[in-house]
Amino acid sequence: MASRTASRIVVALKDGVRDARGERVRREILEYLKINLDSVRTIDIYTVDSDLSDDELLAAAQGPFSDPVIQEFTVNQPLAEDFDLLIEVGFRPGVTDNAGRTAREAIQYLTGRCFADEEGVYTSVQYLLKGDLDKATAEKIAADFLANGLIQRWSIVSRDEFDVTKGLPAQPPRVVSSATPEIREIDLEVSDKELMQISRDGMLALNLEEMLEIKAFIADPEVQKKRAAAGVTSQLTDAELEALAQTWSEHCKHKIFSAKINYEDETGKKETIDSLFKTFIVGATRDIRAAKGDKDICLSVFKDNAGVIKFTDDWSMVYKVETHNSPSALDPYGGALTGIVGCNRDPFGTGRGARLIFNTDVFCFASPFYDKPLPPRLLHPRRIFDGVVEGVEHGGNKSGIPTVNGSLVFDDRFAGKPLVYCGCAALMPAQLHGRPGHEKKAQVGDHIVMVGGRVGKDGIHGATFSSEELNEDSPVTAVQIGDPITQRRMFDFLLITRDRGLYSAITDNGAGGLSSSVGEMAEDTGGFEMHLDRIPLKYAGLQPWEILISEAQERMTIAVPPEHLEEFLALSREMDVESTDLGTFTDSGYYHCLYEGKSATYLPMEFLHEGTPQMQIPAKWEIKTHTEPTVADLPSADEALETLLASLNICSKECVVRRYDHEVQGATVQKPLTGVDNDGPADGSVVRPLFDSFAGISTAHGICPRYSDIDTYHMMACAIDESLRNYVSVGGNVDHVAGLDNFCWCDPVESDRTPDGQYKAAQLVRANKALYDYCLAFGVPLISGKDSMKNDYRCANSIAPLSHSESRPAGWFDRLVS
Amino acid sequence: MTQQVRAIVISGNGTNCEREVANACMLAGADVADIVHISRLLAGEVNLNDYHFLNFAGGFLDGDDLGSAKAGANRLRHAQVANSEQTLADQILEFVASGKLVMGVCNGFQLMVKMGLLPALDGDQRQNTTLTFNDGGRFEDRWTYLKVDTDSPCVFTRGLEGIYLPVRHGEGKFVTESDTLLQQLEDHHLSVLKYCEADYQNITMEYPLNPNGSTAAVAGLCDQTGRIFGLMPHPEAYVHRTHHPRWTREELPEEGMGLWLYKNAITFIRENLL
Amino acid sequence: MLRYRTLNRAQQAGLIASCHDLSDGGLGVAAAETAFAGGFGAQIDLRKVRCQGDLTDIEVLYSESQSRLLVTVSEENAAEFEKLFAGQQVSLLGEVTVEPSLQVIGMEGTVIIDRENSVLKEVWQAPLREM
Repeated sequence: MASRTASRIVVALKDGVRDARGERVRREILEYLKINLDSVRTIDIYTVDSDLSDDELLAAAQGPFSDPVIQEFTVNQPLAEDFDLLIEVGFRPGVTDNAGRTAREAIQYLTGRCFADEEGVYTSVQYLLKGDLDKATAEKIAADFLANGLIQRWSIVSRDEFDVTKGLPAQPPRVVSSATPEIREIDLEVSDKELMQISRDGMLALNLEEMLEIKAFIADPEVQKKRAAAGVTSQLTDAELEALAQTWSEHCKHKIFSAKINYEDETGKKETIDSLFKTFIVGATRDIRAAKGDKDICLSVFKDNAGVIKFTDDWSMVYKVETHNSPSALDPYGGALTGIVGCNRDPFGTGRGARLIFNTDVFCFASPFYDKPLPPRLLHPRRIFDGVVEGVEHGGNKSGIPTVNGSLVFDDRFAGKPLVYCGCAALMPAQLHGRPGHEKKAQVGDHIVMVGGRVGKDGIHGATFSSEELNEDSPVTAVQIGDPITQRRMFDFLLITRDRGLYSAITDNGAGGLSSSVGEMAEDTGGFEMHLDRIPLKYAGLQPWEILISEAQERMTIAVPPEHLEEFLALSREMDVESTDLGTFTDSGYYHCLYEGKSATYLPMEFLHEGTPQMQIPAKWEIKTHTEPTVADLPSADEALETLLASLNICSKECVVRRYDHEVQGATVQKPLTGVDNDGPADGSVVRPLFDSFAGISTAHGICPRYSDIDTYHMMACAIDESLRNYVSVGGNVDHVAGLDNFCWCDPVESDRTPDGQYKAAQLVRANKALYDYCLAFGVPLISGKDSMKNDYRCANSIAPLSHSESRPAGWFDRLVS
Repeated sequence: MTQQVRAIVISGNGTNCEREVANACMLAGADVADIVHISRLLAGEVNLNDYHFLNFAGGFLDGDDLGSAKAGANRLRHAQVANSEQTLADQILEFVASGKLVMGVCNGFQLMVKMGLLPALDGDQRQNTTLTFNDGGRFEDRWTYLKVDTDSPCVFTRGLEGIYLPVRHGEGKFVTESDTLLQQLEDHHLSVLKYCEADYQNITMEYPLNPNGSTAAVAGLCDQTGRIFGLMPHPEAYVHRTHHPRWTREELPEEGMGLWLYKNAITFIRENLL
Repeated sequence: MLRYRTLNRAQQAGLIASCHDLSDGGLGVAAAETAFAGGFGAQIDLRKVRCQGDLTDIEVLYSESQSRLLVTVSEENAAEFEKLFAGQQVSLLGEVTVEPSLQVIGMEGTVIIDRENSVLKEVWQAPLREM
């Protein structure tokens, strides 16, 4: 294995320089954990896992790694002194370390030589704690506050144990893997029970009906004949099963919104709804567009990564809202950062590419002052609040996209699962190279080019947990951390290639990774051939199926015609962006992946995209009675006003709004804070994204989860009215408006774990009915949306009931200066 | 017109405000305002010598991962321009020496300070001042009142007494390596912009008027020639009255206050460099 | 829908000084927010609010009935504004005052709220200020 010796560059603030980070940590430890320390100071560590000379290490330390005015540094010697306990927190192997990546690049510039793939720089932070505390308390501080065990590791050293000459040893979090890549065959000629075992063990979330469908497919003699002719294994491969699981997942197929629902209302009247999505969402938009006739503003709805509407004669507007709930519950900072940076790729990858103009966000949390005991494995709402806010702050600010609109909604039932909505709008040329900018189509013979970040085990559904023993050197899979700078470089590059007309189609790599992005794009041509071994990896040891479905961030998939390939790749190199030619789009009819020349998948496109059976869901509505509060118990009008103003859902959110750059790009003309002192609440925001035009876009939203306890029909109706009310109160033109719907729901499918599934499904139906009715009444077409259907937290004795929805109109008004 | 006023804005690796800066240059009367990706400068396709006005825009160079603009400064200092013996830092020093104008805003200002382009007192090219974490420990977006030192040699602030601009940063606290240096900067009138009260008179250390706890309330700095200028607030973010947070309630001129800085720059170029 | 479209026309005509939606906390919260954001005071009379049936002060002030907006219109634009909204559900509730405080007259005709803007704003800003 590696014979390199790693070194540590240690950077500390000089005496007398204020340590704002340390002070904040001390304050927050007191607030969160009620531990009162005398002081906390911080030191930055760069672990350089490369054989650099002493001179080179010194040059790095005194050049890019330290600030001569306020910092001092050492190499392989400690700077920590005058503490009672020291906690050093670093990343686990395989976790995205953005500062480490920058540090590595800085050394490369400085020394003029390239690191090998397995060399690297890793960052960690030392916290020097002073005060009356023992190791158990320090462990609690590390585990419950300073670090997140899912992605970070830590060591704790007391003053007496600390080696004052050498400090802590250099322990780079290298990913060590002895796995050799192989294509495994899976025997599906087994009992139903064993089929479900395969699904469960692999965390594939395929139900028995789907497993049987796959079993029947592979047993089909016709299929066998073709596989034999193509020299492919007769049994299904692991990569094929994973690709099917991804393509048929709730996330990609929206099985619940596509299901056949048998709905019974409170009077016993029954109806069958063949797909909520088609009936109410697509249906509303279709009917509104028909009614509007030549005043229809929709250009591309429901078929791309985001919706597109008309803006001006020359520009079209793109809008998308995403959720990122589960990851934000596990790692609030990384989850939210990935959420916003990931959401940015959707509008960017719509049509043939769009420039991002603003972000929006809505968070639903429990009270940050929550003081009741929490169920196991849940983070305190205050930690979630801080982490999510910081994640979105970094994601938006560093990407140079203003965050112009948002909400914080508090309800203690969100303790089980916080909701994190991220929205993003973009502009694309109405016409680009003689075709509408919102149209894209991969052509037969186009090269499949992956652009941006490298592939690791990020976001793979944890199958490795069961099949491989987890150890200290195993890469982290469940949590991803976004990297706004890598993404920014990629976007800068791609906008140039778009304007030069170097590609036919673009899409992002999100859920399902290449499996989804290439699979979907290949529907244009009817097949593809992709070489998984060409894909650049973050570290060795990935299986072919892992490469296929990895959700490693900051990647786009591009269809590049052969005549432009050379120019595309050359510009990519010049702009320091990694692009790799992975194969070609074909009309073979097959989803064909190879690894070192051997077929890893050979699936007919139509089976992949049409094969999934429709779900059947029963739904039964009942009216629940609620007692009205009696007015006699209420306080006086003036006391009530103060109580209301101070309530979490109404009080000022300035602390959060100011942390988001809401003015970058110089277009925000109605800012989220308003009034004589620039601190009053604005209902919505207006941006003027073109320097040479007064055309504006106003955006607002509505969200009222509380009404779901009574009737989700009215919850949805109120959310739509609220959003439109907010929109119009900042001047939005109600005749040029579009909406985005976003559902976060509990699991509405009745099962042992969800005994009230029929009621929850009925709630979903009613919300959709309102969506249709009110959008039609207001003439607001829906252009894009998202559903997140498993927002339950399960523990032994409670399921936190959460359900709510949001509707978000976005539109246009023609004169800004009146 | 025989000769054009040519402005360049360097972009890439996390700059975010290049479009607004180029727009401000054009509104102020530049004939050309090119946004040039740093890769083109490094490839030698574009040369700084062809311009009069160099702009470092705001953003987060390399994510500010090693401290604001540190990695960016390192790149400029060490990355070689293709087919030449020069680094970009060499080209920038040549540009400065030839009497041209440089302005850095926010991250661009941080970059200039960390490269030693500012304050560069008596030709000292070490980094001897810095911009570090706000006292509040947080990024903040808020509008600030700025008092201009009218005795400053600064070309950009000529004729101005006070301006109102937004700050949008987490690392804007100005610190010098010594009190002596701070005094020298004051003596030479180089700390040209200071956070002040709404009257544009009283300099303040009070939060939030002084949003970051900057030493001596310094918000902007120039060199002794007055041609090299950096500031934390964003002048390109106030070039039209609709940028003002209270434009719907106050009577304001069409032109924003930030544009004045760019106009002064363009005027200087027309008078001295063409 | 007619209401929103009419509001658009009033905005385009420059008739609106400020506009704020009524949502969480109803009229009371919207009036307070409008007052302390704008830096002026307001005097409103709950007896002018259109209601269904007999409602108490608390109900009128804090009801979250949908589709409502609070606008301020300067004296010289009032007539034109009212002309635009003729026949629609629109009520003149009171006036903007120079004195920076919120005064609400209840259904009985007595003053039920009289609070300075600064007090209300402080209450509104305090809870999450230090987050």
